[in-house]
Amino acid sequence: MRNSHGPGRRFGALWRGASCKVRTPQFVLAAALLAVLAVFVIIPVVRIAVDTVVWQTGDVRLSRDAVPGSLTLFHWQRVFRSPLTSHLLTTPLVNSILVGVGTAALSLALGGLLAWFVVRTDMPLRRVAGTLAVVPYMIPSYTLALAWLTLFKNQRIGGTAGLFQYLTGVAPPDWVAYGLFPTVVVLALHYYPFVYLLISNALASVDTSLEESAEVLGAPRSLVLRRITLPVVLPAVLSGVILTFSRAIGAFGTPYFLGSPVRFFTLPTMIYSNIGMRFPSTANILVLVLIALSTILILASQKVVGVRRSFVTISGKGFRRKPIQLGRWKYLALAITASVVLFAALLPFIMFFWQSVMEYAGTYSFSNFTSAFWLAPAGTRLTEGEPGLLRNPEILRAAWNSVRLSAAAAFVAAVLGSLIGYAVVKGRGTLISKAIDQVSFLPYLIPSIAFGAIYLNVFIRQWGPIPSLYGTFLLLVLTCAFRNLPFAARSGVATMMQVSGELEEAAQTFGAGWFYRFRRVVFPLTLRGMIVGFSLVFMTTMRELSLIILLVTPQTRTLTTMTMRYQEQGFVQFANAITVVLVVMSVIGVWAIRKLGGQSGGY
Amino acid sequence: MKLVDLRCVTKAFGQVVAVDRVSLSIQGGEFVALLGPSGCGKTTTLRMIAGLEVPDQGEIRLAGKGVFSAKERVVVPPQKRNVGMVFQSYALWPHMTVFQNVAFGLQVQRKPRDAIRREVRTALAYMQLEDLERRYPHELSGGQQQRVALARMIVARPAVFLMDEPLSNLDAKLRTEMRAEIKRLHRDLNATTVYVTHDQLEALTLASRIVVMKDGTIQQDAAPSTLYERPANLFVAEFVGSYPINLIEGQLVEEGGRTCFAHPEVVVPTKLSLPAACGEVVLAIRPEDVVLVQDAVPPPAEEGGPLPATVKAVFPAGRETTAHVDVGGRTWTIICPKGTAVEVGERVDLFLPSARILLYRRDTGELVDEGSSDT
Ligand SMILES: Nc1ncnc2c1ncn2[C@@H]1O[C@H](COP(=O)(O)OP(=O)(O)O)[C@@H](O)[C@H]1O
Ligand SMILES: [Mg+2]
Repeated sequence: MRNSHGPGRRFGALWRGASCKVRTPQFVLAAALLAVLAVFVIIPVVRIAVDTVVWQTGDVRLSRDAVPGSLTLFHWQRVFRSPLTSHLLTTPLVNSILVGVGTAALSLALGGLLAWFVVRTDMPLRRVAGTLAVVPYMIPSYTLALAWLTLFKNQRIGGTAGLFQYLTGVAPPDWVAYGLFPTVVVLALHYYPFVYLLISNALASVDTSLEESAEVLGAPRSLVLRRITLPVVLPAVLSGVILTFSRAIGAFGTPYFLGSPVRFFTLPTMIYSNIGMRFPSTANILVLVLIALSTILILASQKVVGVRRSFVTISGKGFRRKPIQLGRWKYLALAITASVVLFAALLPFIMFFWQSVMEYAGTYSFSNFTSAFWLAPAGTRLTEGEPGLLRNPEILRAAWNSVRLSAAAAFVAAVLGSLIGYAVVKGRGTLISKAIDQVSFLPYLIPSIAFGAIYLNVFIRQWGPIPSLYGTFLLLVLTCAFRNLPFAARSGVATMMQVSGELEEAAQTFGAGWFYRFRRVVFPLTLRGMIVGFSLVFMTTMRELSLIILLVTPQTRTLTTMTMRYQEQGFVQFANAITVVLVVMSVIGVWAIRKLGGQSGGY
Repeated sequence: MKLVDLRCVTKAFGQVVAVDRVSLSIQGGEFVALLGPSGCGKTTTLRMIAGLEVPDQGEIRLAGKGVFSAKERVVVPPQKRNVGMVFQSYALWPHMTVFQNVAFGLQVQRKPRDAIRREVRTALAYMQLEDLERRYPHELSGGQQQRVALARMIVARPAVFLMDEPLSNLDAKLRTEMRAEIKRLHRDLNATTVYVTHDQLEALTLASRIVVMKDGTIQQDAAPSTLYERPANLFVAEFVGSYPINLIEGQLVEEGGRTCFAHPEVVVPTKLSLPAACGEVVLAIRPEDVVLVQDAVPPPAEEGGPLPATVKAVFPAGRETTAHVDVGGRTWTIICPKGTAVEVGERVDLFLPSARILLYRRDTGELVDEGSSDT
């Protein structure tokens, strides 16, 4: 009899208990999102962890005792306690940490110095310098590594020598050309903008009247610096250091290009190498080690950033006081700033272009000019029969793959990100909303190469109703979408926060059902935020290498993986020409995002 | 017919009980104001009627149809309740023009295009917004936004209008103007309206019935004049009225066969005809009911006085003069007729007409009247 209540029956079914908010579609959406996140984030990580303690079919190669499917600690012993430990774990781990420490230190020096010059001194051209200082981050990091090779490589790996040797006649020693030193320099040139941004924000937010009043009271400069400026800037410094450290230890492309010639391995390159040699369990254990390391660091940095926020609110809006007079030194400051930007952004680009128009790699004379690598028709001898970049069907297909992969991944991530934002904001305070919020952040803790390795492992075979995805374009899309989900979800939550709940409720009172409301009110209001999320993921995916390197097949090659192939085959001109295209696309893309982001303050 | 009917509705947010066993019946065509200080549960009550909050307990019926029942586990979502709501923030959709905002409700109802256009134009004309239909909300003034919100609600012809402090974001002059507008709207459309406000003047001027709330419970549910003349308890007495009501503590005693209010300084006969069992009471009297008498003037033929007082401050304001006087340590406000010349420091006599005084029990704060006397 109760059930005969018309609308009551339908909603009564989901009505649970006194204090529960009933928002049926929202609840269903949240549950669906959680399920999707479980399938694509939580379970894969758990599965590779479980796989490391189970004999795999291919393990018969490793041990005669292997019984596929049964439990074993063999792989963990192989990695942690065997003659191979040093090669597989210790050395790459130490190298990774060295790379991390070196990169963090150098980034701090460069970023901190530039931030101080730009925010606090009377260095000329401060505004321009401030804008240009972040450009290196827009360029894919491994392209800087390629640029380094072009400049400094010696003939150790065969092929031609670099520009340095061409000009001076002196072959750069191995430690300059390959291994730890160039890896650190290149990564630092790529990541210092992080530190720069954090510290310059902190410096700008120090309420300078605090410093001035201390000085008026007769406190010496050093005391003011130590007691007032430092406490405000320190959290920014710390979080910048931790962030660059964690990014550096997860980087794959740079240590791969610069380390391989001298067998310098970091954890990411060791993972890559083990997958190449078909030791998936070993690779998985290293993936877990890398995830653990990166998780610890990122959680630490969140603690620090949390502290920083409270500082910023205390210090309030800073206003710029009279800049510190550098006198003649200001030209030195400008020179330092200019050379950092030059080395990190401009020079590599010029070199790529130059290299891509050389008939014979490594000969830097004008008579060596050719447009063959850009324009030659098929069958040209110089290019070994490959048509020039702009006519090369394989490269064009890779370009098309890059674009459609980025677009598809960005679309999936942006849509999921918005839905997550909606579910999290609407369900604020409920358990399921918190769960979604936390889980959507998880991929952030997994370095790209590790994420690729996990997806390779999980989706190479059929899994329940999901068929084997290896070699499919779909797998690349899923990988890029879920790896970048944290950014899209952050942007989704931020956008939804701005869309007041009353706007949707108003539509509800007019009789609009959930789908109608979503289409006419929620969706249009969050569209701009979604576009920003889309562009972010699009750009990141465009220059992605580490994430997909393990998953691409000849049919699904992208521009970035093509670069890597040409580089390995010694087709330097092609590699460089593609890189020029990528850099141009990146810079245009970032510029477009800035434009969009600037307007998204809209309503 | 009962258009809105709440029975014993309760809603808590965690530990905070926002609405506590509220029962309320509203007839078709009534204009009911929910009045109370901020945080007393007015918005929550309104949102529960709209379906935007789900109560914990009780029952809600709209136009005779059960839309919520805790016992029968019925929850009808807002989109099926046929109510219209004006939010405190207006909640105009920023990405739609004025026309689109107003048309939304009709589009949901799948009306034909030209009917929509016609009805929207009529509503816009009614709210004097004809020239603004292509504007976006951020291109409008606060008053215009308010009109759009009203137009958007009336065009959908809901059975009940719900308004949550619709005038609180406007400046004083606009507020008076919009108050008249809302009154006109109610008169023209004869729409059942529930109007939330914390401004007692708004409630008194607009509503045909006022429900005063405090801490989630209903304090009094009465016509505006009753509310003003005979507040049911001290809270309502103090909350309603532009000037604070005057209070003095004393006992109810029997004197000369009549029930009188007794205070060391004054004895006021009351209209009560009861054995003086109530004991400790508080006498309340509106500032305009107190009769102020200066030395020179012969005492009037009023009962209930004289109560000596000292003038502390005088605020002449053209039509009338307001004075603050000290009565045994309490400050009273008194409105004197035009032409009264009192001076600060002057000693005056106050008379409290028996017909105008209100007596409240000191323990419960409830009004003492014939019906409640024998407890
Ligand atoms: N969504 C909510 N979550 C928690 N507490 C709430 C919520 N909405 C209202 N409250 C609390 O319920 C009480 C009544 O609020 P409300 O109905 O908005 O009061 P009013 O509209 O009369 O100012 C307040 O104490 C308020 O803090
Ligand atoms: Mg309110």
